[in-house]
Amino acid sequence: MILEVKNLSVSYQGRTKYVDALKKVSWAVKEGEILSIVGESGSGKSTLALSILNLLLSDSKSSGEVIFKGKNIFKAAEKESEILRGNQIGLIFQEPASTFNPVLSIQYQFQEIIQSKLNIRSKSQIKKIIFDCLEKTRVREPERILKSYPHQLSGGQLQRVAIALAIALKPTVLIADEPTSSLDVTIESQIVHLFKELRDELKLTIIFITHNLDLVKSLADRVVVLYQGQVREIKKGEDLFLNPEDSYTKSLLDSFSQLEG
Amino acid sequence: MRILKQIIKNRLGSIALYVLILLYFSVIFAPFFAPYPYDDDDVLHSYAPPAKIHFLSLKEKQFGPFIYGQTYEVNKYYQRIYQEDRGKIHPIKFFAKGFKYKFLGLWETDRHLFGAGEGKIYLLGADLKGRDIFTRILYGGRISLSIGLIGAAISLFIGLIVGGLSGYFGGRVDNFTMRICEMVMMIPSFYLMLALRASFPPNLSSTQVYLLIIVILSFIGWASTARIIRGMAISLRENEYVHAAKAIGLSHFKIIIRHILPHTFSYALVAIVLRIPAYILGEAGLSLIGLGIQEPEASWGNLLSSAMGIVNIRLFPWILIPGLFIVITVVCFNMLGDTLRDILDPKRKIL
Repeated sequence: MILEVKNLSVSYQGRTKYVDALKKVSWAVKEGEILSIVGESGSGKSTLALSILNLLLSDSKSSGEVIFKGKNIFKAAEKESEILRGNQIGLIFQEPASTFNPVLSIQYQFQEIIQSKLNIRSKSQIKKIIFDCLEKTRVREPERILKSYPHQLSGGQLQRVAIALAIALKPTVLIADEPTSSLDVTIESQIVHLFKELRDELKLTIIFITHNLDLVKSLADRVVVLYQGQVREIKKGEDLFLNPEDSYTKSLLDSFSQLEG
Repeated sequence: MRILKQIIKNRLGSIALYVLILLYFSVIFAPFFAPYPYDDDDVLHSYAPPAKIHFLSLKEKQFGPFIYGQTYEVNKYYQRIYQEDRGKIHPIKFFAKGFKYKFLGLWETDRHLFGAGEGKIYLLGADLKGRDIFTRILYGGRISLSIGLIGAAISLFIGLIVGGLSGYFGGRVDNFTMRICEMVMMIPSFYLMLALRASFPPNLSSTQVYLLIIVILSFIGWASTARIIRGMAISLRENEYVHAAKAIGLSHFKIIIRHILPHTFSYALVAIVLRIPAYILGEAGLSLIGLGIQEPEASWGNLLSSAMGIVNIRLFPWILIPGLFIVITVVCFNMLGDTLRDILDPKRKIL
């Protein structure tokens, strides 16, 4: 088990009381596995991703353990977390258009991160890493893309660049927080395909957070079903669709097949 | 560059810009433009009125600009009444020889833009000790204009750092720094300035006073900038790219420097330009009441301090001229600031 979440509870400060976002959530992921976390809006998917990287807001309460490579990293010191983020665990966001600073060129943002996270100073070496990663994520015309600013690129291109940026730091685990929900369907399937390829090429462990059961079916090795901050079911991808046990999973699948029919 | 071009296109903005460039230029080359040293006193010309420049005299066969010599007689109120001495003619020479100075601190020269040879030319009159007000305005401008720039830059710098930190981190840091800001802003700034000045010994050298005034002014000015930068930082830190930068493990320092503060640039630019007048006025205020730059050093504030009595203003109205320079500078900075704000306001750009 490369990453293990044990009894993780998080609650946010509401107007009068704390509201639970996660209640004693536990799951684990094996090396090279694609684990999918599904759930409806407000089920705590994004909170889960943020709490693994210690990015929760300071006004939230949390308890539990996150064990990464045998070590508890939950609530680690800021310095340790900074090293962990990116270099060990990468995070990819939902909106590719807004994950880049609009006033800096793509190349600049790449350079800045590689320089400060990998401590590489030589320009040519950085260039080599950038082109390598862009090639891995199948970005066409890398020269032009590097020179452009975020608003000049399409959503699909930006998401590929964002993934390239994440894998440039050679993380072992990649958390993708609804990476395709703002893209159209054809781009979506390409990106999902890309994740599979990356897993095979780089031996990445991928945690894929989504509300789209279609993607789960084609991508995930195992699925965690999250509802109102609680884990309802953890099953192998195929099994979940063939014989769901939990009542919520059943209704989730029902709504999905209705749409299909 | 793009901003500069747009300022030049704007009528008010370009006038303000050119006037300010002219002011700063003449102040930087003050020894060249000034005919006399700033502390060159002359008892014979106490409160001498501005020189009348003549261009043509048929009797003396004099062409081109010249001035007559000056004599005075004392009237029954023991006041000096200055009169032109038609017998003496002092032609005004350009690039004339005068006192020695170091041009830009590099090489020694004794050339000045103009001079009247043997005679004394008071372009804007003289003060009590017979010092040339025009010269003293130029030298005083060095202090007044530079205090504005440096003071505003320092307080903006502090404001950016404090505002950026408190907005970005929020919570306790934010609470703490904002309460300090409010404490600074709560006290009326002129009284705070007086109190701060009073807490330092009175017998400082003029360089020390100069630095002290800068420190005092920026201490007062940083708070309001910090509050606004904090507000902007709070909204900027919720941007996805800031979250992304955090998630990829960039340090807080780098995130603030790269991803938060650059976005406040357009506000900061306008703020610094609109804030400079306050510093110029602050220095003038302190020097006016004798707590700032001390004689014989000149600043626009202490030049005005001799114009404090109504009698002096009535008899020697030209000692108010330094005030005119303060007004012009303040108005120009405000005009330039307004123009900049219009240019940098993204909402206007769409229209």
